[in-house]
Amino acid sequence: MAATIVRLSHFSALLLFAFFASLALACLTQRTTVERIRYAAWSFFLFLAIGIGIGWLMYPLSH
Amino acid sequence: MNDNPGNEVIASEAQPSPTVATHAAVRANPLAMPMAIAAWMVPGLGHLMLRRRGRAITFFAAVAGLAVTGYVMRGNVFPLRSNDPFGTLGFLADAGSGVFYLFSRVFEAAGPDVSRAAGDYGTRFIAAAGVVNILSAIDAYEIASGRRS
Repeated sequence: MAATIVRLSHFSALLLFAFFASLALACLTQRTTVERIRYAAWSFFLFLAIGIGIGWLMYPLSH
Repeated sequence: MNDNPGNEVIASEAQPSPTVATHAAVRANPLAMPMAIAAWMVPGLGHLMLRRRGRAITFFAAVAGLAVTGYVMRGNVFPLRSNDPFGTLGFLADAGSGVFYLFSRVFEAAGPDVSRAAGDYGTRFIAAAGVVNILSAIDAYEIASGRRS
């Protein structure tokens, strides 16, 4: 198999991780489809918001 | 304050405790453990055997997505033997993804490269895939043993 290397930006990696992790957590913790969709959407939003928030908090450390 | 402790004793004797009921359910389904092992080996297979197709597809997609993304980002795959306790923990997390760990060499033909941030992120993706799959295997076990619906 040929070596496949993907160059993802930090934000793309965050999006992918948030998507897959939210999907799994929603399926594990909620029972109905509607609850799962709501939970996954909320979890995805929180992953992004907290990730970006922590990024900005660390911004002064890199300058 | 309990004015009549005798009634409480009678009530607790009448109904079996949830723990006793759970143990009975586990004994009733000898396939619970094989299903959990199947769920660990192939993400989603345990739920598929339990006729939970939606959950099976979701777990497979989540574990495959995390693991394959981690491999193509050239994340580090921890080997079985390690001198470092964190390496052992890393192995346990990585091995949780079952078949994706066994075929990690196929997915990551270029080998790991943690000198870049992407490779470091890839390491976390691979570990997260394993942890998610272990949780899904526990979920399959609990459904098979009647603890969850």
